[in-house]
Amino acid sequence: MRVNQQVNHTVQFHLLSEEQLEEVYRAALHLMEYTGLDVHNAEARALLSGVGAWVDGVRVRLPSSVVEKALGSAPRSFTVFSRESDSSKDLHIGPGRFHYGPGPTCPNFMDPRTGEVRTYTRADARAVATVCDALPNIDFVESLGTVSDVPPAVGDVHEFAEMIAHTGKPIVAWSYAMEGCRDIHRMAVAVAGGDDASVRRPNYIFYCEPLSPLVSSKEAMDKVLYCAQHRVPLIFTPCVIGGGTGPSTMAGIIAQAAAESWLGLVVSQQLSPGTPFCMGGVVSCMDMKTMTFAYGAPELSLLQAGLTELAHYVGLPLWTTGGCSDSKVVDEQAAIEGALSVLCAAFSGGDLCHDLGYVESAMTGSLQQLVTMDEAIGYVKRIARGIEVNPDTLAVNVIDEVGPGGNYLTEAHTLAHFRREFWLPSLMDRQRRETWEDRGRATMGGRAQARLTELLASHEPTPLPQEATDSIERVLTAANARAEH
Amino acid sequence: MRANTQSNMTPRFRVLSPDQIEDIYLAALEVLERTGTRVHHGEAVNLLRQAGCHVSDGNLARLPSALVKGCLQSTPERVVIAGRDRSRKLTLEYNKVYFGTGSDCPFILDPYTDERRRYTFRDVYHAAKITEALPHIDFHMSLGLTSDVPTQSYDRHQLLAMLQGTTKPLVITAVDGEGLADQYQMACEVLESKEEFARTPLFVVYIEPSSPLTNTKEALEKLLYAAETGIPAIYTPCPMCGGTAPATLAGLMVQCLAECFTGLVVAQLKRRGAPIIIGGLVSIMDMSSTIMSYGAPEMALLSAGMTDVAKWLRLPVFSTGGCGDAKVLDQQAAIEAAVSIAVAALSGANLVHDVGYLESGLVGSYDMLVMSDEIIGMVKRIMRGIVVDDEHLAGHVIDKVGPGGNFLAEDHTLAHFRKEFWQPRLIDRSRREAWEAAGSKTLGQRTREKVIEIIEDFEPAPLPAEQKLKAICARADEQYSKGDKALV
Repeated sequence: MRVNQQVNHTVQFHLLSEEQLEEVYRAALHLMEYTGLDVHNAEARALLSGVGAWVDGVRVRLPSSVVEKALGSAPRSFTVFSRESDSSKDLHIGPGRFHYGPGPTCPNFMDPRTGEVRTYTRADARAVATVCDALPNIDFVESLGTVSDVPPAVGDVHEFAEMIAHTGKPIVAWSYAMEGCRDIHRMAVAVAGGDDASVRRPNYIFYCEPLSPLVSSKEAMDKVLYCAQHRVPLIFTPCVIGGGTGPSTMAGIIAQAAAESWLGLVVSQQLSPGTPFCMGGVVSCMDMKTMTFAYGAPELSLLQAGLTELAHYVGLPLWTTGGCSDSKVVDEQAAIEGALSVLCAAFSGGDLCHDLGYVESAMTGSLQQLVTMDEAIGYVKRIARGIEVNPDTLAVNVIDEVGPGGNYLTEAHTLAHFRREFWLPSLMDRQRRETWEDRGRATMGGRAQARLTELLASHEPTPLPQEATDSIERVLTAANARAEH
Repeated sequence: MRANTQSNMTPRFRVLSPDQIEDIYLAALEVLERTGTRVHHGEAVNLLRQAGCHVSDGNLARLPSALVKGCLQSTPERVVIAGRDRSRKLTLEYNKVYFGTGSDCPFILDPYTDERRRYTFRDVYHAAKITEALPHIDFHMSLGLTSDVPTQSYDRHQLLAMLQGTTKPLVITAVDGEGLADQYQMACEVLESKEEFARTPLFVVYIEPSSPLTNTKEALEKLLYAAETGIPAIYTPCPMCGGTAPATLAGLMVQCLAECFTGLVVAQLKRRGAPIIIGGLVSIMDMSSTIMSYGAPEMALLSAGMTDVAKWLRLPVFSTGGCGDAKVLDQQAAIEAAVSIAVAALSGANLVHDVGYLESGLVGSYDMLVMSDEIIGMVKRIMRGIVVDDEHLAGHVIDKVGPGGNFLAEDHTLAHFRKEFWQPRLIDRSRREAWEAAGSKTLGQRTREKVIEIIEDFEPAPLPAEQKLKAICARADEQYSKGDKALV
């Protein structure tokens, strides 16, 4: 045997050096301490003032020691559980683990059968949850849209009700206002089997956003406080647009995003130390020609990788971004932009990579893109797994046996290894041209559409127990009544 | 002012640890010493025998590890290739990345009709023009196989077509030693002397041993000629896991390295210091279609692994990217190109070739080439990394703008965005209405328009000594038509 061996079990990718990370970390602390953030929530300001923050009107300045204490109590790893008690669907967040899922709240939706771009309905939330449930490389679920065929104020509640009924995978939820936040929690608790069960084995993560630069609204802070009180895992994620709501330099964008997210961290940890918290940030540049937030830019991949490294440096998981595009259709551009960001998320170990399925710079949600990205993730995971090197895989004996000019196809070694060594594509095509032509000359777009149509027709998620369904109905009835008033 | 600060100027990426690389290297030495390799060329066998190799069965050579090690030491760690204009464009050395096309695809997808047909001289010329026009393609291989000229001398015509279309450095293929000699003469005509070629080589020759562990007469004849004349040579195989190499990725790398080393040793024995580039077209056999996959994730991974090994050995490396198994330019081609280009760039490979291949190397696609050029631009932005200093951390700007403010009108934004933000050319970020008003085109359609624009509007610089080059081609055609192979 060979001794003193150090091997790479996966490929190794590092963007920033330790000293660069320390510098960005200190820059974010500096922003929080000297520039401060505007917090439009009296309860949150009072809480912060009580732990040593300096409060002037709505402006809150946080000494580094307060932030450092919060960083110390937030967990680096936690689990969000499948409602099906299926451990393969549990979301284990922790060092070296990366996961993927769609994004929330697109105004428009690409019809999953016709490709037409239209408004998003309740039935679409069901379709998204069902497809996510079936796709092997999708780990958590968001809705890809805002429900438009129910009273506007309760779209969020209906969306969650549809999703939790049609997927066993953990859900990332959002709400317009506090009522929705509470309703969603009631439904999640009903499915989990009570308040205690929900605290011990949470089945969803709540997502909310500060505003860039450096502002938190009353609603956003109310949600942070609510989640901390109920120990709901929380994502607090700003959207920094380089050149618009943030500086145009990459390092500055990352520092600002960190400061914005860490305000939520401090509030949540102060109220409930140890509450699971996921640092966030959707960070990219503004396209200077069109003034859009560029979801497909290489800067997004780069910034997300940098932010991921910073999160890990301070001991937090990161809500990262990928699989999204500025293209209006699911074409080659959507595939390039989606694949590159999915690749960078995998290499940097982005804990929860969301927004898969966004096209048109987040204006449109597309299951066609999501299905395409599911294949891209499988592809990228094979690369991330790296090369296994040991006497068996080095195959010196096999090479000797086959000898110059020989063939390996019929070797026992080939049979024993190829399934593990080779990734098996499902949407990518490697047939010879004649076979491909015989099968109808479909592009990958055509094959993804066929797969999507097939999943929608055939996949049946595990239904909720009747008791949970009844509880959800009661919450919906009450919400609808509230909306009518 | 800061002290003791270390920054990553670019992202850092590697597949293998130094211990894993050493394992693969030592296993390759073991294969050469124990199993040996077939050497189908008398002079090469003699060189090996005289150097202490054990030769049995007439041409099965077993190479002692010490011989390989000695030859590694005399192989240059850097190779420079120049363009037609003699500028030293490519310095193939540690972690320097260049992208280029592949060579000799039998088929083209006609850019006007989409028909799949054989490549002609004119198509090969157009491919070279496209390379010339693209900002991120650094070197050129023919892309297509010139099929409307005599088969035995196609390589001379192909070089002529490439030289007419581009001034960028070339990687050529040759039918045999004579084909290489003719092309060398053509290059010397362009550069005006052999001395100029030695100072600023116009091309590198691509030579391919056959996996597993076999070196053909033609390959060795080209290799020996290249070593003797000082033409830099790529000596790399195309092993595929499960077919012509073990199914395990590490096993393929062992065999591939042993195959490269054979050429490297023969070249060094012919002339110490002969420039050799190692690497390979390394992938898996698709078990359902039995094709060699040009789009498998394993190809990107193996290529990056081989680059790790070559960097550890301090040798220039020939790698692969921008290619795929898709039959047409579609989402699959896009994913295959994007991921392979990103991984090749991250790995620090010197010559990343086959940009533009579709259908597992059967189709050389202008569309794929032009789209990949845009991808390389994007990937280069990622490769530039993140600058961390006070100016880029922008604390003073964030403080000035303050909570709820806007950065758009800041001088800092104006001063930095052009360098910090990549500017797309084919990628579209317009709003839906603007995109619809422009014809609702996909990236594939915009790419095709760019291809046609280059073919119709781009004029490459005129080629010096064109008549002399044509005369060399004609001479070769004539010799082969008489069945007279005695040339040099």
